[in-house]
Amino acid sequence: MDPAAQRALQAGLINSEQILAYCDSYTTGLSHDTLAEGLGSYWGVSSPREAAETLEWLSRYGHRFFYDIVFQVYSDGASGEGRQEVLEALVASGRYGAPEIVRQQIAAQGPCEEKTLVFSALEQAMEMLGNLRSVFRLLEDEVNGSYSPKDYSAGILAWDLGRLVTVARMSLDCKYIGQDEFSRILARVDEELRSNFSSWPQFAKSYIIGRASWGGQNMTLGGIIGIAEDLMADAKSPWVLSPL
Amino acid sequence: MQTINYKMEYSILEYVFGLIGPAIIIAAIFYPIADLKVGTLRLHLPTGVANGILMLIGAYVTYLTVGTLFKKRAANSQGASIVLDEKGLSFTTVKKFAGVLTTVSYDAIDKITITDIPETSTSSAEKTIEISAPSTAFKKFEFDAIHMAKDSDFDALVGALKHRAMNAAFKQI
Repeated sequence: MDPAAQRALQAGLINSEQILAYCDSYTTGLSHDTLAEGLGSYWGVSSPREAAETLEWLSRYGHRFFYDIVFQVYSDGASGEGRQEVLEALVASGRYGAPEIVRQQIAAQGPCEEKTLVFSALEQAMEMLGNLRSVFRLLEDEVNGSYSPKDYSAGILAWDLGRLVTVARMSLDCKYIGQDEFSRILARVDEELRSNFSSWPQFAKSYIIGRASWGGQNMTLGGIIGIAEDLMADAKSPWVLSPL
Repeated sequence: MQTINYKMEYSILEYVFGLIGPAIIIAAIFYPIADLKVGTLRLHLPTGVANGILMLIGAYVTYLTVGTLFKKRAANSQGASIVLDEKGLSFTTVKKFAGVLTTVSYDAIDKITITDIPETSTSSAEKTIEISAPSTAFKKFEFDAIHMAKDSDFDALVGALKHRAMNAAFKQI
């Protein structure tokens, strides 16, 4: 395996440890039933087309699209709930169509597809804003210590990259994507890794902030932080053996 | 600048308890007690000493209960609010039954502990923020959501501290 592909696989280590997948090969080593359950129930992927859509979404937007918006709203100290500010930022992003047209559609009576999409996105973003409010400046791990405001402002790219690698590996195992597409994804992940992170502990912070902003503080978050701590500190960990 | 109302309310129970100490003193004056007994042990005290001990107990209880009322009065004496501005927060601390308007720079805060325990069938909710600023006179101060007008005031204070107290380590219980 070439070093670039190996680095990209290591970006998915927290997630692959969580689902008990192999950590040093393209194949996950999971049974067909587990793969079908994992991709189908958690990702809504049960065909090559759905796999391609999900991988494209993770690669292009992921949860970082919402995070960047809600972090900005939170940092600006929006008065009240922040719903109007988040809605305006979603519209202004251009993801749901030309902002002027989307604003008109929102103002108009009656339903339309763009309006439904924007309000569905608004609910997801508001949930993330609530989670961010509750975890901001409270996250820590044994290696990095307490996360600083700068760590939160750096975003959650690692959370999306880690999941992109895992979903790609599972999709490869299920033959939803071919080897060429898989290699293209790994190359992209490696490029993002080298451009945005200087160490695995820095990557871990971004991943954990992403996980906490998506799911809030719960028992699973503690388990994920534990996996990241082992990956950062265990002498036999791939992260320790091959620093970024 | 943001102002959060922070007023300590007096309860009827506090006034009632405040009467217990004087009641003990009055009882000790008008009802002479020959001796005191602890379990099966009779103390054989000289005449008047038992009443004296009871009066001291009454005085101490009065000090505690009336002292609490005066401390609350002092805490409410400087506007009964927490004022947050760009550089720090101002609130009232109590020193010897007097309210002192205190301003703390956000940079002086080194630790913030947020306690947010929801109500259960056996215990009431607990929502407090303890700030620790070793370089100040008070060292530590605790804000309790019970003295705030709205739940959102607690969240606003937590949010402001999270954004501005850059040197503080945060802990949630």
